[in-house]
Amino acid sequence: MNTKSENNHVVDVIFVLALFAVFAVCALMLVSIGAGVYQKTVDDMNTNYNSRTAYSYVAEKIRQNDEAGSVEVADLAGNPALILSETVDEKVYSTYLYAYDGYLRELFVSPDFKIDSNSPEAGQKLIPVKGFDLSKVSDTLYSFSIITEDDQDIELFVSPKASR
Amino acid sequence: MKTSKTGLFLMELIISILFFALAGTVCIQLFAKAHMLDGKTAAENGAIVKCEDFCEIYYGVLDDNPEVKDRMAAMAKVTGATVNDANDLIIYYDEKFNACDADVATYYLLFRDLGLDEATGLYSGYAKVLYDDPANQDTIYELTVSKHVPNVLQ
Repeated sequence: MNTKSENNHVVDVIFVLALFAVFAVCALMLVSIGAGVYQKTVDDMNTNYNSRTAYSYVAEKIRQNDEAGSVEVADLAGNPALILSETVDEKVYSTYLYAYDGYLRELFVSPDFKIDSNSPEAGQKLIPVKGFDLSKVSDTLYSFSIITEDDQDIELFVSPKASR
Repeated sequence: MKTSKTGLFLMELIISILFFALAGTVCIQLFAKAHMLDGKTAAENGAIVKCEDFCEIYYGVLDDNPEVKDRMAAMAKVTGATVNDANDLIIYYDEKFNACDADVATYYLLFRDLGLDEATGLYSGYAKVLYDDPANQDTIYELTVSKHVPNVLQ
């Protein structure tokens, strides 16, 4: 009689412990799934932010300087660059957009500024990128390729309205 | 006395698990919704960029190509899209919006040139990105483009 009572007692304890273990595992799984979903959402938000920011910045810069002859594709000390020109007090100032040392950069220079091999370092860092390339497809169409920090390759086309 | 204590703990545990199951169900539903919303946002972002690209290219090729067929050929050359029998441009994308073959595509973009509207003097067209899935062909994003070309109407 005693043995039976003792056996029941052991099974009770084991059952309760097993149930508790299942509870703990389920709780852990739930937290783990939540963390995974949150992590993916944050990663996607960062990817979207990086791609959209770089994309929108270049496009808006061109829109701001959309005047005949003010958009030009060239290079800045060996780095492919977009040159946007604007005339202030009869002087032509240039804005260079290019990638250097892991960043998309912008350099605003006066006509007196002399471009040399150190010039790319002087540009203001905008956003981390791995690559920036551009080409003039036609007189009315420019093509840009931006490789973001997370290896996303974005292709952007812009047609300046005042290109003709 | 000991058995009674165990039974009480069991009851407590069962009630806890019941609450946990209810809370867990709600959480899993929220996680699933968040995951789906995240996927939808990523798809919309990609679709917006591609539609804007095609509309910009349409602006860019319009002046040099007054005929629809020529415009579509010029756009196809720049984008790598194919022109179908209806003179629409079609290009397929994988889940990260890289151009790919039709058989492995997750999305596709269709650009239709509506030509010149004689009443308004506007050239127009639209680009839309859809899911490339027979069970779900919803439009993710659609962008209409129109441009006035001076002196085109006689």
